[in-house]
Amino acid sequence: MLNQSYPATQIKWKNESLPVILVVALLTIIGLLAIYSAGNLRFTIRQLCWLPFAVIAFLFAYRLPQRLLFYLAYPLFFFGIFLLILVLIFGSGVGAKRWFNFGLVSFQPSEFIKLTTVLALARFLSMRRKFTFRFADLILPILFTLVPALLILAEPDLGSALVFLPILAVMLYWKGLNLFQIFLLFSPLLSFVFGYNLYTWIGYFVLLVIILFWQGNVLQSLVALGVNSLSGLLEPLVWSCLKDYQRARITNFLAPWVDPKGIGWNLIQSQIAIGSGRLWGKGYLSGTQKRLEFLPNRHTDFIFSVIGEEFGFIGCLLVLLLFFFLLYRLALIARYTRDEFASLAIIGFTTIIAYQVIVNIGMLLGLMPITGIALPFLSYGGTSLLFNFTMIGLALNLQKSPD
Amino acid sequence: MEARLRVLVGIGTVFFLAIIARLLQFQIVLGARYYRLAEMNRIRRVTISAPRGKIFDRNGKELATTQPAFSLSVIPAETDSLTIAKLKLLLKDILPESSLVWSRIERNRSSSYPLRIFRNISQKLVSRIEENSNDLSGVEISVEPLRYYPFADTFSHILGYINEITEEELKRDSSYNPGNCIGRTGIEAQYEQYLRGKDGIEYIEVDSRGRRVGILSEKKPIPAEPGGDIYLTIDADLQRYAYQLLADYPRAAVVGIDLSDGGVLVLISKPGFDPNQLLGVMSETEWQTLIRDPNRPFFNRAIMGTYPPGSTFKPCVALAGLEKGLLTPNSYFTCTGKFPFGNRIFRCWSTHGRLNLIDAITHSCNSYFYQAGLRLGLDPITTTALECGFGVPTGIDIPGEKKGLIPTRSYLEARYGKRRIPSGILLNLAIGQGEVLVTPLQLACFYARIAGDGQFFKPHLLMKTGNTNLKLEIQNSKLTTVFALLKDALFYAVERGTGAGAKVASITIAGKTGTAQNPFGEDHAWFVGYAGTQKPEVLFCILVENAGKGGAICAPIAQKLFRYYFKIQPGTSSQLVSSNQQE
Repeated sequence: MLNQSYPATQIKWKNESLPVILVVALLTIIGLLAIYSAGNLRFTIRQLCWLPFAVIAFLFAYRLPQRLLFYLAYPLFFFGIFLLILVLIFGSGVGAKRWFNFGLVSFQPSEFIKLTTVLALARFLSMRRKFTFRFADLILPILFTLVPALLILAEPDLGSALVFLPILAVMLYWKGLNLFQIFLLFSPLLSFVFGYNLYTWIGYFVLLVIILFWQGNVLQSLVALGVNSLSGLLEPLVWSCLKDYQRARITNFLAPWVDPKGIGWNLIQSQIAIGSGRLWGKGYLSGTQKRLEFLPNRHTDFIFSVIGEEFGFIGCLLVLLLFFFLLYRLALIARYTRDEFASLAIIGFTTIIAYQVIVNIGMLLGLMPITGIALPFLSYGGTSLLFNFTMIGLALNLQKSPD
Repeated sequence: MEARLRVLVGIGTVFFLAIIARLLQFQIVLGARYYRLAEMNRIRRVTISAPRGKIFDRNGKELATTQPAFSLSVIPAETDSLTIAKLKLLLKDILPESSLVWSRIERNRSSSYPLRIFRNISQKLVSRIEENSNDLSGVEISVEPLRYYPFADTFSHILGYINEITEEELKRDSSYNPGNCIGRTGIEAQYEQYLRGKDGIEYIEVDSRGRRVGILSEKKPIPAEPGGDIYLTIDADLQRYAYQLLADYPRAAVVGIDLSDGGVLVLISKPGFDPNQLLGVMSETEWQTLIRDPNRPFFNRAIMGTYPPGSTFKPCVALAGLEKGLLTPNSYFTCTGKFPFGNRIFRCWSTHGRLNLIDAITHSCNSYFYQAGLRLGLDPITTTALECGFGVPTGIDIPGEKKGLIPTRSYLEARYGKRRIPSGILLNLAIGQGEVLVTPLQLACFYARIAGDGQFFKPHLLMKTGNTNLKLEIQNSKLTTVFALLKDALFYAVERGTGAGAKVASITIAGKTGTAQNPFGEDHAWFVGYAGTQKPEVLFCILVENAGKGGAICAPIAQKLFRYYFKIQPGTSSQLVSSNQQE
C-alpha cells in the first residue's frame, strides 16, 4: 500500500494542519459577514448555529483512525447510494428531489456521496499495484462515479452530478494515467456534447483524428473513433425521439440562462453588483441592498457578488488568493503523503473544493452556465458547511503518518 | 508525482487567472459604467406580452381576437405606502379597498417584478394617472394585447375563456410569466399551447423616477412570438341565427354537424357567459352572481349535460333488434295505448293498433318498443348502444366532455344487487327513459352514424391551424346492419309522423323527436335530424330543457335551421319541390 519513498531531504510535513485550518476559518468568517451583509440576520444566526456542528464534524473526521476510513470506504459508498435512491423516492424540494427534510434541518445526500465516492475510488485505485489504460482496469472506477452521477442527475441536479467528472479525471491522473489517456476516456462524452450541432461535431472529430494520429496506437484509435462516432450519432437520435415539451424541459435544464424566468436577470444584477464595487468596493454593509433584494439566492449561490460589491476587486482577489492558497496546500499535502490511499483521497477532496469554487465564481461572472453550486465555506447552507469541514478534517487526518 | 502536481496546479491556475481577468474587466474596465447603473440608474426587465393567436370560424370571421389595451402594473419594491394610498384613491371605482389585488401587492412587498393589477383601463384613467406620475413611482402603464370576443356570449361555450394565471400554477409551470393569461375552458384551454405564443423580454434602463431612458445594450431583447391562429369548423352566422331562435328558452343546447367531415357547425349551450367579463379583474360579487346563477352559465350542456334521450333512442333499440335478427321490417306488435307489465301499466301516448317497425318509429309508438325490448332483453340493447358511441365520450376537441350512462347489466347489478334488477327498467330503456343518459353531442353522433350508413367522422371543432389542415378521423361502425331501413323510418317520421314540424318541402329531411321525462320538473324536448338534397349533408340536434314535447318545441326550430342552412325562403319552398326531391 505504500507509495515509493521520497527523499528524506523533503520538507517535513509535520504540522501542516495549521495553515489550512487558519485559511478555512478565515473564509468561514468572511462568509458569515457576507451573509449578514446580504441583509438577513436570520440566515446568519442559522449559519452560526450550524458552525459548532461543522467543527465537531471536522474534529471527528480528524481523529478517525485511518485504517477505519480505509475499511469503511466501500460500506459508506454503498450507504450513500442507498440514500440517493431513498431521496429520489421520499425527498422533498421544489421541482427536484434533493433533500431529506427533518423539520428543522434538511440534508442533501449528494454532499455525502461526493465524499464517499472519493474514499471508495481511493481505496480501489490504491489496491491496484499496476493500473493501466485497459477496459478491465477502467470499468470499475467509471462505475464508481457514473452510478452516483446518474442518480443525482435524476433528481435532477446537473451541477452536483458534474463534479464526478473532475473527480474521476484527477484521481485517475494522480494514479498514473497520462493526459492523453484521460482525454481518450472522456472523448465519447465530448462527442455527445458536440453532437448537438453537425458542424461543431465535425470540427471536434477532425481534432480527435489529429490527436489520435499524433499520439495513439492503431487499436486505441479505432476503438476511440468508433465509440466517438456512436455517441455523436446518439445525440441527435435521442434528441429527435423526444417530444417537444421534453426538449423544452431539457433546454431549460441545460441552459437555464435562456429561460426568461429570472435567472438571467439575477445574473445581470449580480454582475452589476460585482462591477459596481470597482477597485476598493463600497465598504462593508453599504452595498446597494435595495437592488440586491430581488436576488433570492444572494446569501447562497450569489454570495460572491456581495463581496464583490462591498470589497471590490481587492476583496475578491483576497478571497481568491485564500482559496488558491488552500487548494495549493491541499495539493501539496496530497503530493507528500506517503500512503497512496491517503494521497488519492486528499487529491479527490481538493478536486471537489476546487470544482465548487471555480464553477460558482465562474457562473457569477458569466464564464460558466448557471448550475446552482454553492461557494464552499462562504455560502449559506448547513449541509454544505458540514461536509466541506468534514472533507478538510479527513484530508488533514490522512496526511498524518499511519498510526 | 512532482510533474503531476505541477500539471494540476497549472490547470487550476489557468482557471483562477481567467476569473481574475474577468473581475478586472467587470470591476476596473467596466467598473464606472456598472457603478453608474447601480447607483444612479436602475435597470428593469420588461416582459413583452405575446399576442394570443386569433380564432376564426370556417369562413374567416373573427370569433376571438386581440386588441391593444392599457394595463396598469405596480412594481411593489419601488412603491411606498403613500403611493399605494394614492393609487387606491384613483382606482376606487374599479378596484375597491376589498379587492384581492391590494393584498397581493402587500404579500409581494419586496418583489421587483411588475405586478399587473388591472387590464384594460379607460383612456380617462390613463390620463389621470399620467398627470400624477410624479407621486406614483413604481406604477406603470403599458400597452398590451388584450383578448377580445366580439360576439360576447354566443360562442362562449366553444371558445371558453382565459384569465390570469394563479401563483400556484406559476410554481408548477415555469414557462409562464406572472400576469400571463391561460385558457380555462373550451378551445382556449384545448389549444392553449398553440394559441399562447411566447413572451419576449426587453431590458431597459430607467432613471431614478422610473422613466425609461433606453434599452440596455448588454442584453439583447428577445422579441415576443405571437401565438398561432386557429380556424374552427363553426359557421358563425348559423350559430348566431340558432342562438336567436332560442331566445325564449333560458336553458337549451344545439349541436350542428357537417356530415361530409364531422366538423361541428353549431355548438350552443344556453345560457352562455361573456368571456370578456372574465378577463379583467372581477369583483367578488360579479363572480358570485355568475357562479351562483341557477341556470349555471359555465355548464356546457351540449357536451356536459346528460339527459334521458327519450324516443330519440328508439332507433338504437331497432338497430339492436335488426342486428341480432330478433326484429325484421315485418315484425308486428299491437298497441292498445297501454301495456300492463308486472303490477304496473306502461302507457303509450296514443293508440296505434297493429304496426310494423317502420311505422313504430314513424309514430314513435311506445307499446311497440316495450314489446320489442322484452323480446330483445337488456344485453343486446346496451351492447349496441355502447357500440353506437353512447356511454363513452365522443372525443371532441374541447375539455370537459361527459360520457353519459348506459345501464349495462353490471351497472344495474352494482346498483340494485344481483338478480334484483327491477324488470321495468328494460321497458323504460326501450323508450329511452329512466337510467339511460346521453349528451346532445352523443345523440348527434349516433344520428350522424345512421346518416352515413354506419360510417362517420369524429366530431371536431378545429378546421385548420394557420396553414395546415386537419387530418380527419373516420370511424367505421362495427354494426353490419344496413342502415337504409332506419333512414327510411326517420324520413317518414318527419314526412308524416311526430317530427312533421321539421319538414321542409324541397329537401329530404329525416329525424326523430323525443321527450325526456324529468322527475324534477317539466320534460326536456329533443329533436335530432339530418337533411340534404342528394345525400345527408347536415345534422342538427336540439335540446330545450323543461319545454315539453320535442315535436312541438324543437322540430320547428330544426325546420328554421334547415331552411337557413339550405337558403330556402319560407313560402317559396313549394316551387322547388319536385325538381330534385327523392324518396
